[in-house]
Amino acid sequence: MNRLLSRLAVVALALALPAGAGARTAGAQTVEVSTGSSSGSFAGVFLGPGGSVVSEQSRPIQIDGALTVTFHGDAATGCAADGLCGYSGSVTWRPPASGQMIIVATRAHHHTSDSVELFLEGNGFPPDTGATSATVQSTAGSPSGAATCLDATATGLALDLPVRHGLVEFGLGGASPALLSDRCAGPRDPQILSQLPAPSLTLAALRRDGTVVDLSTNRPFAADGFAGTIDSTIAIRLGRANRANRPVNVTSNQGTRYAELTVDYRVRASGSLLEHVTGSANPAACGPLGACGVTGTETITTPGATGSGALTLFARTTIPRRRLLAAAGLSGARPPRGVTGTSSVTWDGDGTSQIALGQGANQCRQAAPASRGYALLDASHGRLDVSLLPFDQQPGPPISECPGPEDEAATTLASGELPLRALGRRSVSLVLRTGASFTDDGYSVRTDPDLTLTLTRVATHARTVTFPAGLTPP
Amino acid sequence: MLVAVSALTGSLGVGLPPAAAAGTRRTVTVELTGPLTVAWTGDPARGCAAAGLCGVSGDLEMLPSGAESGSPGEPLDLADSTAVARVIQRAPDGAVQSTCVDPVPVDLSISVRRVAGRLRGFVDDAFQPMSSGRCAGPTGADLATLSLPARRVGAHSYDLSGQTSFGAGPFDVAVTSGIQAHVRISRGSLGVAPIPPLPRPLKLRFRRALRESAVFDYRIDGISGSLGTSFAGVAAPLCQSLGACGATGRLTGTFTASGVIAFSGSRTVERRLGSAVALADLRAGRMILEDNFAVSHIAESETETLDQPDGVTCTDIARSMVLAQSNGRRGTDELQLGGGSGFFGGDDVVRTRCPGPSSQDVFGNGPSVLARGTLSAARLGRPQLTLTLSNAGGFTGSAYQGDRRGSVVLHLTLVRASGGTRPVKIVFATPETVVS
Repeated sequence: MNRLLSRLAVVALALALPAGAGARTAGAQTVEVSTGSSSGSFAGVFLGPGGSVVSEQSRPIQIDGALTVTFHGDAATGCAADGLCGYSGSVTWRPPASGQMIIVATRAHHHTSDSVELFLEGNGFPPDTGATSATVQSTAGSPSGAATCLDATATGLALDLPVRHGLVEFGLGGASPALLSDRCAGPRDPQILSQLPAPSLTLAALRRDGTVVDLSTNRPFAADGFAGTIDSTIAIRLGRANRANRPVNVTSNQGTRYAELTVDYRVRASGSLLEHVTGSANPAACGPLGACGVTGTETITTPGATGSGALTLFARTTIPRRRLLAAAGLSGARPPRGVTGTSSVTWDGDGTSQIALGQGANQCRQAAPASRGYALLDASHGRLDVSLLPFDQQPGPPISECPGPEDEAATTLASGELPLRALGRRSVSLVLRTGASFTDDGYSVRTDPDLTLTLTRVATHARTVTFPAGLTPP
Repeated sequence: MLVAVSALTGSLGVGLPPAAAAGTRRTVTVELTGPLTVAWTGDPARGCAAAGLCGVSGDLEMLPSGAESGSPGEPLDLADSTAVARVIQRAPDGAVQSTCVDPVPVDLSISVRRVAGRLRGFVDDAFQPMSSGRCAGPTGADLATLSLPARRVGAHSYDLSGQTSFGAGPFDVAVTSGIQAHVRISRGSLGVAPIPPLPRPLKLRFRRALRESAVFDYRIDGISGSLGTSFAGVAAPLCQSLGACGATGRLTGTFTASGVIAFSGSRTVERRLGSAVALADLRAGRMILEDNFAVSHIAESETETLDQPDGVTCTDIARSMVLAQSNGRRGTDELQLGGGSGFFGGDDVVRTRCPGPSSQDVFGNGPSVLARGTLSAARLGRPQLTLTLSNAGGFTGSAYQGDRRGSVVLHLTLVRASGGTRPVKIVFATPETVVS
């Protein structure tokens, strides 16, 4: 799986269900275990919120134009404080020529709600995707003077449109990955996308063929250390709807039954993660990115965030329950072989990210909220391994206007382990102290973590689930 | 990134020995780490001045991750859908004249082979080749010759790190690899899910029948004419990221061709027919006409001239294989010449080492059809045939716009015509299937 797919998978995971609730991703589709007291089956759900899907409609869309932001460091909005005065350039998001709009109505607790999602990927193979290109000059970016940062990345693959009281807010703010996300310095989505038109349309209007949503504008902006011009020529034309359909329940007697054990945890996270960033020693790699000579740190501090998660395990139904419990550290029996599962914990709190990157006379410093965390749990071989996922793979726009690497190149930022039997206690603490090293185009990064996760067991469920033929548990 | 691949243990391209418990169900985990940087600079000693490419320096930066192999023995998949080409062109005084940045998704396979007593990783096949994209730099064909030093690590893994360099037209190309391929084999956990059961097996029924077929083999004597593409950068700001603002250029494609094209057709008939009748039936449109270029060879030379706003003119010639495919109907056959990933795979047929539009700009997201032409079945049988192919029209891509014009003519000489009927078995299934 490549980086783009991993990005999408995490986005899909974030949009779907809490991890550990039996949800898993398969590309952009979510396969969800329907709730049941003692057994479950699978139903196909297309990125809808929880509940049963009442209707699902897709229609092609055509997208014209592009979004270009031309910017320079702006003293009036504080470029000196952030060390952004030396940067100027432009960043352009070019959407694909076509895509799909999906309208899903779901019903839960006697209430029907709608969700609208745009998938911005054209036909053909390889598919046409949106791309962001940045060209940024730094006036004193290297010992020899000016440096140029060139970067491009696939962005805006999915666009979540908020629906409130039957009105759909048609803006670009819910794009994932973020539209103005690149390794060069520059304004990001929060500073720019809020300045674009975001017309509110009724769901009825979205269901009309030929509706054109005009997102064009040409206006100055000044925010958070940068000023310049926003030039959007983007217009989205809605095509003829495909036949509305209700997802077919793929429950089948031909599937394979597995025993599922889910242990729900409450999570508390506290500590810090220090990233040491340097420009690559290879001039060929750092030169075109303008990253030669960059040194600095990013410190992410989590004072005491709380969250939840679950350890979910699958095994053959012939395995006794007490041995399955042993696989989760909840029994003294011998853990069985052949247990699999995907488990994670997430947390949210008042964390901060402080970036200090220097290059020549440019010293970029920024502080921003960094509220979310996401870690994978792996219970196997008699121990629990915990891996902190890169922050770039988590929902939300990038937090810094400084130049720098993207974390998503890392498979993990921090890790730790403890004996599986420790999970037999109701509450257990685990310190992530093992760092990671990775490269991201013209940058090298080394992490130095000191993050404590406290897992408190709140519930344990066991049941039998049926996977359709051809699918295996994660 | 870890990718778990369930497979019968055997030999993977990156080093699973066949002796590793052959026949047992195992999980093969391939972890690919480390960057791959391909950097290039215009070299006066290699003629960059004549090409207008001195002062060009750039790189393609890849962070390949993961690999997936459905069956043993497959080569290592090296893919990075977020790879980026970055190119800067500087004046002799060092000032930046233009910049170009282009996403270049890469998806290729590498196999490790022993050559002259040393292990090296070679590019086997490139679905999305490494290249400089639409920026100045080496083409996909140039970088297909890349090979990496390889050392075995442990039983199954490889260290593909190291440096290598080579020349590509006017460029010096330097490759820096930090790639490590870690291969681990472990017992499968829950095993492979059962394959969904097929629908209730059909009881196959056969019927004997006669198949009428006819074929005209034509030798390719040559191909004349040329295909031209005029282009210019689109208006600012969309042209900026590729450094295409104010650039104008033209591409001229000329072709060489040799070999034989077979025009054929077949249908089920009730009674035995002679050769002359079968050939006449094909000419009369009573069979679907198809062509077969399997024993032909068509190559294109694409010449580009690009005038850049700073007064520098870039010129280059790129050669690539051209593929042919047919869209046959009763009585007519449309032949298409093309290439690139939207066709049958391969290199971009409109790219040279100068900056310029890609096939996606010129032909859109569909197949890159350089030219197409229609042959009427009624013309088959003539001793000499000419077939005119063209694909004129305008285009507007993400950074370049322009138009295509011109045509090429295939000159063909009949070398064989044959036809008749032969007994076959028809399987009653859906769709109807003929087995000889």
